[in-house]
Amino acid sequence: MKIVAVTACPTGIAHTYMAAEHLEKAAKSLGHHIKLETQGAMGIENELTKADVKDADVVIFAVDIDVEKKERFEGKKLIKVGVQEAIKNAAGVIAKAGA
Amino acid sequence: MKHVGASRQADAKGVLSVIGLDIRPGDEWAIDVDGEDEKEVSSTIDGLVRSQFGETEEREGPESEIAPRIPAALKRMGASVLSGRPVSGGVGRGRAVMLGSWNLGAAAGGRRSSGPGKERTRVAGAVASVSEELTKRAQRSTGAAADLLRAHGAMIADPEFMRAIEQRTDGGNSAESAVAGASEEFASRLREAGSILIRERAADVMDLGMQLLTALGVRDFGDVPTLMERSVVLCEAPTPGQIMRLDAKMLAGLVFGNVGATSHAVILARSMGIPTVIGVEGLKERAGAARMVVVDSVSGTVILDPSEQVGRLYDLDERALATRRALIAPIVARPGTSRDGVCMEIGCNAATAADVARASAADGVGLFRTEFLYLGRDHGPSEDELFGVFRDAVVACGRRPVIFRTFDIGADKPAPFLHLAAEENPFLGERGIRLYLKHAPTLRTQIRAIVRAAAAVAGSKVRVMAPMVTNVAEAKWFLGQVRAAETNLANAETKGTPLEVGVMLEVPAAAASVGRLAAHADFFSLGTNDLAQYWNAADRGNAAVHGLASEIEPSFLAFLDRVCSEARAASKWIGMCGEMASEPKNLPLLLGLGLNEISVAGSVVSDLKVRLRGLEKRDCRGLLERAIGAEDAAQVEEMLASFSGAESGEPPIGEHLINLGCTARSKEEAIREMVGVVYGAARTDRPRDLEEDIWAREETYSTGLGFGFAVPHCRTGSVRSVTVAVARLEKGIDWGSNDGAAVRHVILLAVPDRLEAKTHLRVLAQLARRLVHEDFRGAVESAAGPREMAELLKRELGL
Repeated sequence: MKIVAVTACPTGIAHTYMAAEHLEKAAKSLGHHIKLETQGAMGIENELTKADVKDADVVIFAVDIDVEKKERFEGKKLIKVGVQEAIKNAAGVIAKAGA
Repeated sequence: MKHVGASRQADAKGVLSVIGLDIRPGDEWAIDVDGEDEKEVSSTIDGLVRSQFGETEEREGPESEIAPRIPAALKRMGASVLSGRPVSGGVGRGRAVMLGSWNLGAAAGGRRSSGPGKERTRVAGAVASVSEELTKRAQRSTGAAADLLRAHGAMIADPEFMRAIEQRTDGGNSAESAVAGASEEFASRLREAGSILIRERAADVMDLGMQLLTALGVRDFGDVPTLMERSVVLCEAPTPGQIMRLDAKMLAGLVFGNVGATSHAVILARSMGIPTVIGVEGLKERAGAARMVVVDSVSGTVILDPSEQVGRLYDLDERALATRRALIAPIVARPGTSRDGVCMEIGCNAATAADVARASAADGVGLFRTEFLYLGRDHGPSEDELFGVFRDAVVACGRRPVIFRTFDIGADKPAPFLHLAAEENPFLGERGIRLYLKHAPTLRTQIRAIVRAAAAVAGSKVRVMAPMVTNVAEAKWFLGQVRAAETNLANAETKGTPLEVGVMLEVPAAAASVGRLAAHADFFSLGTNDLAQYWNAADRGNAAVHGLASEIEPSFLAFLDRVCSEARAASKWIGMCGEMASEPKNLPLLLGLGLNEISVAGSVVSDLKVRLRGLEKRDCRGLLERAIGAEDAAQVEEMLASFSGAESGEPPIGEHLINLGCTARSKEEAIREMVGVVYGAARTDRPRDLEEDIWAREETYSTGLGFGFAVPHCRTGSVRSVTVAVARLEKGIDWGSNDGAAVRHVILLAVPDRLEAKTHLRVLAQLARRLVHEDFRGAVESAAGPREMAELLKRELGL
């Protein structure tokens, strides 16, 4: 499965990155391909391109705030969870995306 | 003397009366001078006013303007805390002892008058006795205590004060109640003044009243208790007399009510080095029942009956302070040296022997100003008077060198006895050495006094330099004057070696002629205050052009570089005594210039020595060259601001910032201890502020990231460069982490707030990412020692 994901947490920027790390770890260990964009106090990093989104089978938002430039993902299969869930149970989130 | 706006007047010979006029900035005042000597007096006063009463420009140190606030750690521990203003630094703990305010009226008692004549005589006797006592004690004291005693001596001579007492004795009061009444009258007048500086003088008057009553035989004033153990004394309205009578050895701390920072009791406490907090209202009600007290004169808090937990916090402070002292003491005891062993002495500027004595960390006195001995006087000082002052200064220097600068006066300064003609442009006029030809005898007297002082003190290292030199002829002449004086004095008294004679480089023409001047001078000292003003053709004191007079203007730096090279080529010592040297941010530039010495304000000597130890000449030379190539002073300013981190001797992480055996039992202790480590390593000068910045972040959202790791962090003005401290806790601490796991590893990150926010976030982001991976966590958990931990984090976090 090809996954693209965006993580965004308004409070501690640490959590934005932790969620991204967790999702990456989980996806890879389950044999999936994943590209992660973080939206935090440093702005948008590793921004997902039109091509990335087009290629993807599913979009995961692990966010506690609105995603910037949401239009990119219109029409795609979207799974939305909170940042904490991505941290605590990344594997579960990946599974949800595949279902 | 008249306060024009308020239609008040007072006898200008009376200190208290003048103070009581309550003249504030912006108020118009007038003075009527009448009598045989009115011409001289008028001109003296005129001179004093024009010279702003001889107040020097140098600030004695940072002013404490911290608003009262209760440290987060204490709040969280539920400590019973009173807030005030810290005025002396340090922390003290002891038994609480309440000190009552003196009630003169009650002390005066009910004794009946023996008749106005008799009572008047008794008063006169008491005044004479107290005056004499004050003079004697002032002569035996130094510093703040001496100033205080002299001020009291002046106050007691106030004719209006005397009249107020006599009015009462004439009216049938006993001497005692007349003194008490007059003191109260003056004190309450002062208490109503608008300016806090004047309100604070009320305590001085009360103190004088007490001294007079004592001289009249009164003994019972209420308590100045004998301290039986280490104590913290609390007093709503202390008088300096009360403070002086407390046993200093037992005095751990002082807490005052609403007195000001310039009140004499506070000045005294500060000079005694006693941790003091002021501005705490309602002391009796709030602290009356306390048994033990902690006075924290760093954050301005007073803790009543501290718990064991709170006690441990302060134990941590003491340890951090000891570590810091141990780190700094050897650096400060030796001459200024860079990390790569380049020596640049750090001396101090002074105007009195007391200044020299205070700056014990200084490598010498790079500029001993002598003007104050000449200003505001109708006759020049005698050779013996000068000799006395200079000899005391040389004695205070010990084996350290001292450079006396002969008097530097111009038409803008009040030296009536020189009868200087008014000039349209005194800064480009007859000043400094230019005056000496017309006033050769005055110069000769001063030089003789210096030569004699040098000879009178064994092992002295005295040098003399001339101000405002412009050309070779002047330098030659001055050198000749010194040699002539030495020859004339040559006898048993002055069998010393000839003094080294130098030239101050303040005039661009002279600074650009170091090669030519070298034949007639033993050394040079850069007076950058004036030199930069002449260079940029801008007056620092003129708000309209103040910004143009910058000393870090690239062309000026290039000029300084050239001057220093020329001095080196001529094998001459070159120092700098301008204010530019006292600014810590300029230090790398000065090391880059290759100066032999910088002479700075006494209060910054230690700090500069520590900073110098972290710098490398090569890096600083590179910075200087970049600065010379900059567009303008603003760009240089930026370069200085970003010259930090490893370059300025402060790598983000190091062994001394890592504690793998931390015994903290709570978040408060852990954070206090880690801040203490940062303070102990001299990476912050404001540990309390740093701690508050960390708590500000911590209280928003716990920094416990799970897996037993916490990452307290902040952007702060209290560190100079990115600082990472690490602690491994012997006992897990509940950090409020999401996963509920106790925290065993704490990584503290402090980023200077002048750096863009991204630096802070980048390190944090990287840390957060790595923590997700078991191998990283495992590596941190098993790092064997501080060095391994430092290497690991350096690698993993890209520091």
